[in-house]
Amino acid sequence: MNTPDASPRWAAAARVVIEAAVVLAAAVPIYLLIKQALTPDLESFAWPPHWLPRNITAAHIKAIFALAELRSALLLSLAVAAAAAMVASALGTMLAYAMARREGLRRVGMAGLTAARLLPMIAVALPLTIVLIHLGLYDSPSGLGLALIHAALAIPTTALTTYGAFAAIPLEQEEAAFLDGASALRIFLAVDVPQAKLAIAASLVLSFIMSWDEFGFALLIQVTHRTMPPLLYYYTVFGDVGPASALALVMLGPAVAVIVALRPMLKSGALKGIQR
Amino acid sequence: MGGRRANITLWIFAGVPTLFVLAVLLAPAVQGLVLSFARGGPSTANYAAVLGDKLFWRALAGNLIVPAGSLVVEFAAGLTLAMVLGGRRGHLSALADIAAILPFAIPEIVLLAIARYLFMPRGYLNGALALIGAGPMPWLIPGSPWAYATVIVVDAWHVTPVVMLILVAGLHTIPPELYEAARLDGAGAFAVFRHITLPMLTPAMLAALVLRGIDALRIFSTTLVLTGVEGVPVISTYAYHLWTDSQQPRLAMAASVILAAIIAATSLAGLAMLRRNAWLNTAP
Amino acid sequence: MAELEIRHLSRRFASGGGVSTVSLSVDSGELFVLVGPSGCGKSTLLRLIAGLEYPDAGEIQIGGADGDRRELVAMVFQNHALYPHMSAFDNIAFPLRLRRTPRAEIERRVAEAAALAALQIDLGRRPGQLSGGERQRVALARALIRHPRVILMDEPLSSLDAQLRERLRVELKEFQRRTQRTIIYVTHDQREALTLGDRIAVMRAGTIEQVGTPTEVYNRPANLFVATFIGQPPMNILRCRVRQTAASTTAAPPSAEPALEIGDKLAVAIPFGLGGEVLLGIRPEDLSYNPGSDAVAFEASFTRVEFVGGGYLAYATVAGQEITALLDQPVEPGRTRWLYARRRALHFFDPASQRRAD
Repeated sequence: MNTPDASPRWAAAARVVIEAAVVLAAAVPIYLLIKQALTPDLESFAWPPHWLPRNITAAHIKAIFALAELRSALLLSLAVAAAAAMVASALGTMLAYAMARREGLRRVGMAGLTAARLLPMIAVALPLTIVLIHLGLYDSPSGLGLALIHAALAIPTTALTTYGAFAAIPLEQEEAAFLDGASALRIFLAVDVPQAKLAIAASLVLSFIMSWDEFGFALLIQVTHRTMPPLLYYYTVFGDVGPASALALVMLGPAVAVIVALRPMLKSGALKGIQR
Repeated sequence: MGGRRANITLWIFAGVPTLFVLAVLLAPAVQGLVLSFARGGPSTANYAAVLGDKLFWRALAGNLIVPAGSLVVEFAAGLTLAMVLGGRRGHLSALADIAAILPFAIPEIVLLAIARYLFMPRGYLNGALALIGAGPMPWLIPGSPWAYATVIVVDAWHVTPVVMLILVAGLHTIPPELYEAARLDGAGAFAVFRHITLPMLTPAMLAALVLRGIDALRIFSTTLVLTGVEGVPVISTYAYHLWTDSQQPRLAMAASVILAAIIAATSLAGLAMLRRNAWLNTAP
Repeated sequence: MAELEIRHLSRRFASGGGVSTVSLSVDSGELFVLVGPSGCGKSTLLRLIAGLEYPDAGEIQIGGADGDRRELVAMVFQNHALYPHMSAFDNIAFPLRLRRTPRAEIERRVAEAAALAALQIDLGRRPGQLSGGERQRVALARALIRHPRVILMDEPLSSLDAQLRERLRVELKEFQRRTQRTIIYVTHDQREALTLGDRIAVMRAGTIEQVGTPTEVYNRPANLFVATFIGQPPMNILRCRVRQTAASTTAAPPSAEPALEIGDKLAVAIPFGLGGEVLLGIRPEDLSYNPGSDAVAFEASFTRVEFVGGGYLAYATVAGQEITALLDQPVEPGRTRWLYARRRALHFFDPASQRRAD
């Protein structure tokens, strides 16, 4: 334990108060979001604002799937995140494996990956937009340009997530496979990847969430064919409380699922390396 | 083992991802740098224009004030939460665990949307104030110092869980015997905190401070969504504004380069300081 | 007929270690053991033979041919190196699957290899569910399935407990005798080398100190290192001065042979001419209380005696130098008694070259 066992009584009381405050600070905003999603806009615009719902309606939720703009934003976010996750995982896994097997590559790789994480997005975003315009990938209906960018942004994370798993596989197994007659690629696929399954899955999830949540590049690049984050931005800033709240709730889905799944890891502080 | 063939495979494995990342991130960055110096021919006119713009200087100020304030708030809150939630568990604990992580786990844009609904002039906070008869506060009104405060709090709100996790990990490295020894020596809770917890946490806190500080300089969406460009300007939104509203790509690029330079300088200084401190702070 | 020929093989590592100009020849059907202390290069030599490392100089020939090394050899690793995510069956079948062998044949050959390795488990289980001994059998089966000309074994028993090790060692010897496979076996345990090998090579610091049958290496160690490395407890080495008893330059009669002095206590005739110092080696098990014929006597002051199961390990000093003796009767510490060793059991070494002097 990291605090003394016999704490004064006021400390225990303070603890309960703070824990309650933390829970409220998270619960109340989520509750309000849910309320706004389930009540007509008229209510949400009322002054003073209503804390409890008066009329429940499913209209906003239905609109997600009915309204073309909302539905295509959802589908586009899914497509971009899925594509980015697969590309980032594949490339990051390859890079992590190479780093795990060659000491020289590891040092260079670690330095490069750390530097990449510190790069300010805005310095890259504007010229990148120009490049995409030249390539015809600007504001594409398929979100291809955005997917490529998200993939590149996620590679440091996927590489760092899978590196440890590969480094832990004893070299003897690869030597045995080599003697059995396997090529280097075959060794990677048959011996290493199956043992790194968990880490690879984690990297898929992490890069999916990173793409799903990403706002800045999406705002700049997908101006008419929008993914959900920029769409939410416009809805929030220009009114449309109901659809905005419903959209926000949909966006919350994957995030909440991930927290619940990852809670055990949080205790051990394993995720502390992951930043914004 | 495997000789030449294995080496080729490994170089491909390392090379393809690296080339991909370089092409997508580094090459455009270099192009942007070049573009920022172009006006007819190579020139610094773009930079001159940016540096002559009053809005830029407000943005620079904002880009320093907001991260600084955010760091203070998130570390104070993060440390408090780490001490409270990293300790022994009660009934509320599991819920509090999830609740504490939530602001970081949910998409930033969702958090910002919620913040808008809370802080906007006809939002829930002012509504709550109205219920007790108090007047509305200018939480997000451009020009009001409250706008800066609100932005700082919301930004900190989003990142506090990360700081909390880092500090919880740091707390776990403190050997419990130190606490027992202090208690036997008669130290009360505050003394323990001041003389044991805080000094032993300092290396972890410094590292987190530097990393979070560098991160905080990149602030963009928080101010954009909450107050717009003019309300609480920072350099990224200023550049964005030059790009979309003013249609001035070269000026926008120049502003971005300035921000990148500030971040690079801070990163190098911060990491150098960390490395030097690592020498001095080797654990007993 | 030589199955494996190694000529002037060298491989040095930047971090130290490796092998240096090693030449060796292993016959078909032989169980050949490489033995030596850690860092002597035995594992490196094995890996060079396997093709896991490339030599700086020299050549390796297997079966007189120069084909793809991987077709000719198979290896059993110290930590079995089984693929943990595959069943035992898939582990053994892996080399065949790589060669796209048809399924029916795979099943037949896996059963055959498993039988050869005396594997009696459900092959559907994974390595994590097997005992240490079973895992090594699976590793052996995986090595056998390719019908290699030479089987390489890198300390395969060292991670097992002592009793299991004994049992498997006996099995291995039996297996090799039955199937007449050529096996090159690496170990750091000299006893294992003596019991297993048809021939053994003692290595140190990258070179081979001696090659021979276990009896040869035990009875006539070529140098001081081999003498003290082979045999447990290690051979006693006594420093002796040589003194001429009669001046003669021709073949001297036995009584005028140069004699050996150990301190002032002993004079022993030695059959060759040497000046200065010589090192005398006697194995602890060659010392006894009984004079017998043709024996040399040592006056020993005993300091300590330990019971070691089959006898007593006695620590004593002779002419001020410490020795150990394996005796069948204990003796009180502090006492002085005469110990005897047959002249044939004495080994002489030149102090300068450390080589055998006769």
